[in-house]
Amino acid sequence: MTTPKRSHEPRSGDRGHVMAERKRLRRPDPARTGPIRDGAHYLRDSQSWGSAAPQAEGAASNGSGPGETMEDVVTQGVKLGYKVIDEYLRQGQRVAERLCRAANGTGDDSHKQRDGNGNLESSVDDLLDRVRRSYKDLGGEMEDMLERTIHLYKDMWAVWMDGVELVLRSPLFVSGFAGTENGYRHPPPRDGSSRADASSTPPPIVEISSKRPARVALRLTPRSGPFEPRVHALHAADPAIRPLTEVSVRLEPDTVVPIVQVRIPDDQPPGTYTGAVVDRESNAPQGTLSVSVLS
Amino acid sequence: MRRRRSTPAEKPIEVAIIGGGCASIATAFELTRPAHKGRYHVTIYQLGWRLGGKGASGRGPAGRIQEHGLHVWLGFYENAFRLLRECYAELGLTPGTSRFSDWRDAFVPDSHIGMADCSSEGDWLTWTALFPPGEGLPGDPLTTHNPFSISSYCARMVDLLRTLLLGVETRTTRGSQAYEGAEPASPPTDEGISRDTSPEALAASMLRLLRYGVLATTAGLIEGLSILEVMFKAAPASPQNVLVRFLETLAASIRSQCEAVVASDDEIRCKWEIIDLVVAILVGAVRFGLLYDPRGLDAINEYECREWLRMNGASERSLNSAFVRGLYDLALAYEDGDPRRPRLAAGQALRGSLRMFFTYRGSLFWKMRAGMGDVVFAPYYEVLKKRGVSFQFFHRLEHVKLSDPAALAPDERPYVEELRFDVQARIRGGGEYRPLVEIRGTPCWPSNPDYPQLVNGPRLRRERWDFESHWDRRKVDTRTLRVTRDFDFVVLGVSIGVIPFVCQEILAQDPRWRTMVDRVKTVASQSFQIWMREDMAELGWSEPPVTLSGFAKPFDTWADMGQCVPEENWKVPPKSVAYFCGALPDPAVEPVRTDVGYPSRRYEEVRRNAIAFLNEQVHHLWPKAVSGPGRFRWELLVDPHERASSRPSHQADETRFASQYWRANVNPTDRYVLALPGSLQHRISPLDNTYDNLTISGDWTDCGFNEGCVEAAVMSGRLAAHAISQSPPLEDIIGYDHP
Repeated sequence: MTTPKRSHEPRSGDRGHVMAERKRLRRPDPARTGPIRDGAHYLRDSQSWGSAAPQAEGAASNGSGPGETMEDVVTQGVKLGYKVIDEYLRQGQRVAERLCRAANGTGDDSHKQRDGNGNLESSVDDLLDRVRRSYKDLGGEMEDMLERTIHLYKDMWAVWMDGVELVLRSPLFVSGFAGTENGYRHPPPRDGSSRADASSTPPPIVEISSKRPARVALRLTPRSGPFEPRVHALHAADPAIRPLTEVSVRLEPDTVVPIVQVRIPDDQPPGTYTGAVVDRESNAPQGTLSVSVLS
Repeated sequence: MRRRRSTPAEKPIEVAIIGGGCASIATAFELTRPAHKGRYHVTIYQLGWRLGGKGASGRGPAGRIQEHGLHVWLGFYENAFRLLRECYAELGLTPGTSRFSDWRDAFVPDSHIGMADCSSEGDWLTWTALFPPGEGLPGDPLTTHNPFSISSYCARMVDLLRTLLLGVETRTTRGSQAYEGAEPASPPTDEGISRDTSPEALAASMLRLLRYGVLATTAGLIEGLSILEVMFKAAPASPQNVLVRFLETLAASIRSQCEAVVASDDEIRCKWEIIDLVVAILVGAVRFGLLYDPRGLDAINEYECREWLRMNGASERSLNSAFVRGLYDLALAYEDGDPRRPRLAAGQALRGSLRMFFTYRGSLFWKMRAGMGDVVFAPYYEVLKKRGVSFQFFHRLEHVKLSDPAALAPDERPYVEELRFDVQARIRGGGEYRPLVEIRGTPCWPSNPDYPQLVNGPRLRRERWDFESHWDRRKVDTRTLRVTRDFDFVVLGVSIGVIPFVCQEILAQDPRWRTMVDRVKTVASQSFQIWMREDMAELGWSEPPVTLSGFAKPFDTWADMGQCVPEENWKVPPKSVAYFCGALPDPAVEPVRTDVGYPSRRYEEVRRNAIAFLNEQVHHLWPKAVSGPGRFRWELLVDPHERASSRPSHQADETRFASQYWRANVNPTDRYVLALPGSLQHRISPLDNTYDNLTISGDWTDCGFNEGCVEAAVMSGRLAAHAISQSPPLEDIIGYDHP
């Protein structure tokens, strides 16, 4: 601790009383006189709370958890989007059921089919078309709303998903956030170097988790040097088919061999799904990964 | 960090703290921590008879709590809560001996935020939203992770969207119907689907869900597009110009589409407005490079908040929404108190909103169970007394005298040589004034001085000395403190409104101080409290207890403070208590200091405002509090001077309001500091050492969170303590380092 300095010059005003013998004290020069606003510098754990600090009465974490990255946040946003839409669809389905029952004058729901999970199989379009047919004579805003909703589902949601995916792939996005102190860091190689050595980096291994047979084709550009691979979602040719999104990469602890893991949901439509293999650090494309799901 | 141990032979460093508000108390609390081992001796010089400044309260007739205004602590007040929790722990009270033995006894979580707005049909509409409990409690150590990261804020924004989309409830009041006993429509189920199975009701449900569908889908879409859009824009020489233009057009088109959809539905409109604002913030944060700007959010403090949101695509509807108006109301952000001049610096407004909504812990709001004086300043007073702090009440600072510039050594900075006070009253026997009284076993501050302790106390009371009035300059003596004799360091913890009157020498020679005083403006406020015989449900308010803003001027903010009644001393307790507050417009010409009648005139003005408000406006909140248009039921008010058995007749008129409590906060010490655009860079930090034995302290300083509130004051107080003792470490002042 810096001690307040005492002036060596006696002051004319110093006189008598309690503090007569004391020389004037000076405040120590401050290390700084303003807050740090720069996001690159203010990220730090608060570790200076001493023993006098109150004890936490609950979980003390605040906001996102340690190590959470912007990517995690955006992913959470995407999941939220799905959750909201799911909630909307669920309510829409429930109302549609009741509308249909009301239209039929019965509680009959034999027209519905359920899959193994108990979910209604009706597609959004089918559902909305049925509702629209049932209530087409309502006209006015109802019709308008139906059109808006169908339009949004068919066209806009796909754009949104593509947009988020583009963001996730953006080099700016990656470089802008991956370097923050709290950002997720790929585990470094055991030799301590920041990147795997070119001559010692074997090509990635692809692991498929699927109940159905699948074919894998990994094509890397010939000039590819060492890199830590990253694979985003694998898309089918038809944009209406949902992509394979459960693609992850891990490093084999002993050999530092990158292992690309792809999980294929049980209800994934057959077809060929393709995505880019990129360098995790630069996001530069390094090749393609194709997975053909057989029927 | 090494700590220095004082030796018995070494006299402590004398610190004179001027003012006893939140900032000053925080400074005193830090400087007298046991870890300092008595290195600092603090004396607090306080105007009048009570601590608290703008947070002061007093106990009036029937022990009722009479506040300076409406005080609600927010769940992000990390520094304020932390120190207060330490204070309670140090006080060591037990449930058997005190009603407030723990800070949790003194504060109740309030998770409902309310806003009032005009409906599409021209009626007042109020909506309340339940904010889910945040993890932990305010003041808990942040052991795992700094909360003020970009990723954390983004995550919380997503959470907010979810909360708004799934958690908002709306309640429309129809003034003309309410006191005719009209029944509300059948409520929707928790899923928004009416149980009514008639074709009409089902069609209405379907329509509503479709509206929600458009809203939900589009909100998600815009969020994604906005992020995408700004990312593209930030990329140098982006090859995607065409796509960017496409996306901008698309976003505008969707906004336009949603505007059309939501216009006819009040509930969806409320949600859409907030979603629209959040999207604008997300877009603006990246468009203005705030994520990387070393100035953080200060980079946009030159902009007025609404202007900045508008620049980033927020619709006019959203900019004039209840939510935005509510934020201005909570900050009393009206220049000169003029409701036509809402002004708030964009960066600080954004910082405040981010902190408020995304870093709260436990609850969004925390209400006090008794007066702020009782549950905050009384415990602090007792702890500080135990630590040896001296209190000199009835000391009004008149002049801060600087050293003679000609006498300074070449390497010596100017310093405060003298502090001159008017002594408002002397204490009988010459001892220290004992300021607290007990109400229901709780030490409290009274609403008036304890005259028997004062020399010539009966005369002072008879002559109505107003110890807290800026215009009442009566005194019984003067007192001058001198550097090295009476103090080593000075902490100027008065309100900025007082600076022009006491720091003339500094202002004469220091252009920074002159600019600060000129640019950092304050606003007067008005408030009233009423105690009523009927509870809120009987008055027609069917929502949970709420803190509501954005309501009719001049009392745009209301809080249900029914939780305080058990702490008061009524023979027959009122069934409800309501606090209202708002900005009070300044006169065109500032009153001169000899205008001793000025406070009384403003006091009378507030009384008239309150009566008119109760007659004309309050029925929008409490439809059964009126007997007809423009007729408040004055018999509802509980007069503490009446016998418990008496009941007022139904012919009670507005004169009954005189039994309630109201204030015109026009004193310079009472005025609330504003965060005007273009002003915040002119604030001076408590760390500034231009005058090397003087530091400033208060929510008007450059304290990291530059907006008037308890948290800013405590942060500033801790900074002032750091300036003197280098403790606490700056990193320990939560939220000081923040974008």
